[in-house]
Amino acid sequence: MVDLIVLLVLLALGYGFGRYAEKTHYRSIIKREKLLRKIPAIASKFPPMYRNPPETILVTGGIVISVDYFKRFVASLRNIIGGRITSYESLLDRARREAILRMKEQARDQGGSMVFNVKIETASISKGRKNTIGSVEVFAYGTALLIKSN
Amino acid sequence: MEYTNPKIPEGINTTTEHPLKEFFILTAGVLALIAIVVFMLGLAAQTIARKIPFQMELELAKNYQVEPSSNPEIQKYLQKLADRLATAQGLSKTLKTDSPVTVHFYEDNIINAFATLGGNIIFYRGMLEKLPSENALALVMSHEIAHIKLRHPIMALGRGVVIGLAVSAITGASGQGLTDQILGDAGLLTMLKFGRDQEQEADKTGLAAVAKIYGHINGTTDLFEMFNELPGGNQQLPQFLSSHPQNENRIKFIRQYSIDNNLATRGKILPMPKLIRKYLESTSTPTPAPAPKEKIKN
Repeated sequence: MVDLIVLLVLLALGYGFGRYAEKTHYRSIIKREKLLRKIPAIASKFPPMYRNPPETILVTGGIVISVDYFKRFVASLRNIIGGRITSYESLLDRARREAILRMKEQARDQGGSMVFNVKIETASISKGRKNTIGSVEVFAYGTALLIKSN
Repeated sequence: MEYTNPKIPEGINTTTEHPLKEFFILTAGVLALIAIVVFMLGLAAQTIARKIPFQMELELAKNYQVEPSSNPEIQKYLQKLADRLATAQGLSKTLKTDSPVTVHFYEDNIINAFATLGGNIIFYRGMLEKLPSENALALVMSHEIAHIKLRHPIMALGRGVVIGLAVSAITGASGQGLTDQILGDAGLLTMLKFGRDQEQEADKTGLAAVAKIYGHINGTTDLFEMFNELPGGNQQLPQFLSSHPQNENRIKFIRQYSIDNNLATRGKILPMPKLIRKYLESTSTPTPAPAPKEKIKN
């Protein structure tokens, strides 16, 4: 009985905080994406052709994001039945977009006008400790072009 | 020339569905699945347990300690009655053993009698006090013997152990401790839970044996009728009846069964033997909830 109460409290806490964090995070992501639209990030290996070869630098953006108790519980139920783990989908979507945003912010701060050859890596922090830590790192990196305005 | 990233449409990589909806559907589905699996396991265990030879059940029951009966005289009488009924039911042939039934008598004022593992039947003084005649006593005894004949105790044990194991495996409780607890609880001195169908089966088999010995079944249902007339009705049902079919239904069922099988319903009702009447008089103590003695007719 005590176990059940503890479980319900953890679920409620996980749901409440997780939901709040997700909402505010998405609001911030959408706002910042709008601001940084002018610095495009593209996956192409080759930059557009320029008469004078521009200067380039490496820009990176990383984020570590943790799963909440509620998401983990729903995912573990999904593990039995199968299907889309939607609770993790939104988590990783946030992580990817945040990583790209941070990469773009780095490019903007260094005077970059666009980032090409963008790649995304993920690393699970929970390796070997499956039930204690459930967090994931998403790391985006690319080559920023520094073009003088003329 | 200027490049820009377009606005990404939302809800492609994620879902717009409310997370609680998925949570409730999944939880309900998984719980239902677990319930079905546990129920099926219990059913399977019960079916298999029935095939365990009675000799093995006797071996198993040896592990449980039995208190010596507190009154050897009464115990002897009850054992004799039980042996007669067991012979009438053809018990030793069914179970392939010479003395399948052992009666234990305890002087507690609990209104109960029950059959448990290893062919043991526990009879309490409280039950004896409530029984109006030897015929009624014979039906109670015969009913418990029928449980043993139909292997109900070992079936209940098998079901209990398997369900306990499954639940402990799912909830992650320590399996060993739980099984020990179940095996301990299901021991000799505790009552096992039988299903309603099993009770009815035992009534049938028990009634047929009583009819065989006395030539009729008159007086056997007096006990249930008496409890039916008690003020307060079902609220203060003694333990013996609480797990059984409702008294009224039970009386109806027994009547119908006797009509269907041409059992004589008229005959001489034998009073309780002197030995028992004397014993009950000499040991009667005022109980917190006095029994309606005027309703017991000898």
